[in-house]
Amino acid sequence: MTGVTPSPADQPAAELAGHLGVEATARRVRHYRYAEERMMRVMAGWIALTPELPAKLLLGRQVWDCAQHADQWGKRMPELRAPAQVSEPSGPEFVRFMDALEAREAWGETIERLTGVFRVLKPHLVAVYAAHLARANPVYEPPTRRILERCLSDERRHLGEGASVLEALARTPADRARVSAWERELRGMLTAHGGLTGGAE
Amino acid sequence: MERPIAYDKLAREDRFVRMRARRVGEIRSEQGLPVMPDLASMESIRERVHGILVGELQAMEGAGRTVYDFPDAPWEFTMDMARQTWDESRHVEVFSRLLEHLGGYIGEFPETTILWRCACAEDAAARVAGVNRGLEGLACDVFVQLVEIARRLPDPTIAQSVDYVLADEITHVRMGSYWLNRLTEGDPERRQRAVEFQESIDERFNLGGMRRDGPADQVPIAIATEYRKLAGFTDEEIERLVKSTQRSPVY
Repeated sequence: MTGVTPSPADQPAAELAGHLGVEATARRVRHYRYAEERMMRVMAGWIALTPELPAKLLLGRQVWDCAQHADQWGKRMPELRAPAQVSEPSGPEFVRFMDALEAREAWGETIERLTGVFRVLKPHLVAVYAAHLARANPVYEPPTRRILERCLSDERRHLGEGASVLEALARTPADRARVSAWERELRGMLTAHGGLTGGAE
Repeated sequence: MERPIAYDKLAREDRFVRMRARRVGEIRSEQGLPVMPDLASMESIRERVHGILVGELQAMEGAGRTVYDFPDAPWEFTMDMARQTWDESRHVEVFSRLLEHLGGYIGEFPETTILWRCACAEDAAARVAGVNRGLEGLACDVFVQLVEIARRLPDPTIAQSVDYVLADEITHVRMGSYWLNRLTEGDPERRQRAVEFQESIDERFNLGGMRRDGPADQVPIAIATEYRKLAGFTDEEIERLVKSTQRSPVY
């Protein structure tokens, strides 16, 4: 036998092993709130600038879910010894990424708008939330885990809805090339500096 | 993104036909039709439903812009406007399906953008006064009447779905009443400007005397007094609205 079998006395310690401390979790939650709040405001602002009715309604339907995500993250903060309802980006690079995503506001740029949200930002959020959930301690972090589960469930549904609308909009090879080009550019900006968490594990 | 955006930035598919409200009124008048569809025939009900559909669309767009345009407003205000955006998106779906149910289609009648213009007010307090209290108040009047007519037809599909929309509208007016007070707390001049904006909208949407006090089956658009009270309008405000309808050109 090469490994060490934990003694019964070690079991509680293993169950209480943690990923992020209280302050680090509070900071992470502020980053999540920044992403959800900013995405929510941008999607809301785009509704009037988007001609295609299915895309318009898609944005309109999802704004409230994102607002609720931001709100739940904001309410979690005082439970982590931090001020309530504060949004904080992980760094200027993430702000620049969001600025670039938001800037595609012309009538003819619905494909880029939906690409930015449904092929780059939301998939990234899902990946980050899922990774956090996988490591969040089930004994003392259920409050965070519950919010992560709710957000993950909604964001995965949003991705499905967004993919359908984007597929219907991007019918020609030229349209699909626009999707690929913008996705590549945005994804490059997002991942170059560690994305939503600024590279923190 | 610009904050706020210009009126003419409102984006539409080609199937929508946009026209100035004044021109629509002129055309209707030339054809001997009332200013607004009178709900006396299925065609006029269809036209009214089309008008409501585009109104709901603009309400969704307006609520969305309010979420975006006022990042420094209280967070609870943003939450209410985000909720309203979702509600209005459901209303668009409801009225799109009702339009189909009535044999109509999007673009069958022109779209005017008066509601959208009101939703572009630069002050958040003016927006909630004008849109949530003025226009959503009008929506309560219109929907109460539509539900009554649908029950008489009888068309339970229209009656039930519009009744749910009416419940949402009362909530939106209530939000407007609350936020008009909260946003203008300690600033009577701002409140006065917002209230005047709302009253100018009320005057405009008296529609040349079509909105009046009276039973829903006897006047073109009846003021839904009980529902308005439920939504936070005071007796004094309702009285003022009734008086303003009596000042309109039809009298």
